[in-house]
Amino acid sequence: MYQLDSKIISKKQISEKYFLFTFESTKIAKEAKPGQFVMIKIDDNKTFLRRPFSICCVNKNRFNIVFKVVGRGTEILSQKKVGDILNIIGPLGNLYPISQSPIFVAGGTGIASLLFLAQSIRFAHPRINSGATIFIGAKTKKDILFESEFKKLGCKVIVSTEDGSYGKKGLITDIFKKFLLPTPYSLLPVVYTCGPKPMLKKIAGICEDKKLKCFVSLEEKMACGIGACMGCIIPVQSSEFRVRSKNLKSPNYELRTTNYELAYKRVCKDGPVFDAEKIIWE
Amino acid sequence: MKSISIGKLKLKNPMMVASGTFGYGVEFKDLVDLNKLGAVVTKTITLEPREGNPKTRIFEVQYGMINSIGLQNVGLEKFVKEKLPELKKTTKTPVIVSIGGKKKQEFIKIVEILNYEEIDGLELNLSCPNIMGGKIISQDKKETYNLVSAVRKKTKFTLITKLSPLVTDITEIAKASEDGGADAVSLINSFPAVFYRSPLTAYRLPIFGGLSGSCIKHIALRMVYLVTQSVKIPVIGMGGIMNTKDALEFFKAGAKAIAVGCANFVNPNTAIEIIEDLKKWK
Repeated sequence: MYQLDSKIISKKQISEKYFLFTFESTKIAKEAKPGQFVMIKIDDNKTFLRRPFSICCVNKNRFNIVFKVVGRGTEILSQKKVGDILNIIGPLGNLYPISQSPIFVAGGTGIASLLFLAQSIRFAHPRINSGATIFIGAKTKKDILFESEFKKLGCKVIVSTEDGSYGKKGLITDIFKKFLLPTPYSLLPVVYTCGPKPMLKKIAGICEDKKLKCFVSLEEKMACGIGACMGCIIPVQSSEFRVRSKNLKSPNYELRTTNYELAYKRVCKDGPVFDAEKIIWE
Repeated sequence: MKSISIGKLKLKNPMMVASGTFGYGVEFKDLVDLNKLGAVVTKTITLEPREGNPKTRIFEVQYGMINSIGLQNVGLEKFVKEKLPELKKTTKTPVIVSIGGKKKQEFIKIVEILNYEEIDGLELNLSCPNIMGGKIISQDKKETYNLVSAVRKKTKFTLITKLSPLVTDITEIAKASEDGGADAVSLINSFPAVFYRSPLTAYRLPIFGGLSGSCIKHIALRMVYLVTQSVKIPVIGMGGIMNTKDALEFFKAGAKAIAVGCANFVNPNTAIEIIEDLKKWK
């Protein structure tokens, strides 16, 4: 984990709202593992907190991030130029546990960390990816990222768009479910998924039904990114941290009813990768 | 940058980190040279572990943030057995433990146990804006006096009380702390506030939390100034300190020591950079 100034050495606008940035940092590139992220200080005045971004892939002295412009922070970031220097903390968070029989399911920019994972698996076990499948879901053709990169790695790529403008028409979760039906497995696959939360929840549910191991990578609003502020939490089933929750009267006047033995885990430090079966989905 | 004393506690410099923004200290050890700090103030510890508030807990606002953590912490036992030894192993910098509770008895029990630990001071968190169903103790001068004097009788540690800005007259509460036997007062805690999620969505419920960051600095400065005029014990100033200029303003307002709060999330080395800057000033 480092805090350092890093230069943008290349910037690519993939589609209207998607950007790929390459930063120069030997330290982060050397230490980063698939699943990890960086916290970027985007602007001194217009934004207050840093923003988290998954590390998409690394190469010697550089690492990439992919993001979609969704708010003020990403808007300002998208306007940065090659040569600009930003303060970055990273690499942060835990790693994807590597398996020999992966299936990837990506939604939107969630594909970033999965590309890094697929590359690492390919590097560690050159033969595996030829049998690996990646499901890429997006709203429309423009939002499909890294199809050719996964093909180069030897993965079977299945694409779907909600509007049918490319690949199969429909939600990637439905296509993933159909795909799982007839396939016989010699080695039980492990599912890795990253994308919007409703998609993750569905994929986790499908994997639970099929008794497949599933790892999800979560996104959450963060303040510190290093496990100190307790701001980015996800409820998980817990045995170690037993707090019996009753109907807690909420200070936020929200309905806050919890009946599980739950623990709030930090997405930044205990995650962002979680075993899907532990998560209590909302 | 001179050394200072608060009660019996000697600090090599007057720069501290504010409770709740620096975890249990160890989270920052890879990024910050903890030995350079005047003191580390831990996240508030309660007698039993607390799971904290449901998500979302962090909201960025103009020049600051609103948090609704709800004092998630590991509880006294795990703190004493794991977190504190880890921190003491990492640094020789004095450790001030922030403690909280709903009732006086909870504070007393915590103090009775901490009396046997290798800590350097206690900060009574009488002002957390996020405790479910709880009220802010430091909004009532009698309750503040009762609690501080009860704790004072039980411990020889340097005793600091952390005050809420949400009062009609902050000097009364500071005076009550002084009369109760506190060695110093810390002010201000985050300002109770409300956040509305996207006004365009159907989600209409307000999120209650604590506002901190640059946007509260001038409120904090006023309160620090007023309190230093009315009590003899040292004032530890905090609230929106982001840089050296802010720090100097707090000293000007009469603070004997200062603490960096949520700036730790933005730049973990804020306190260190201020220390280095102030060395040049002498």
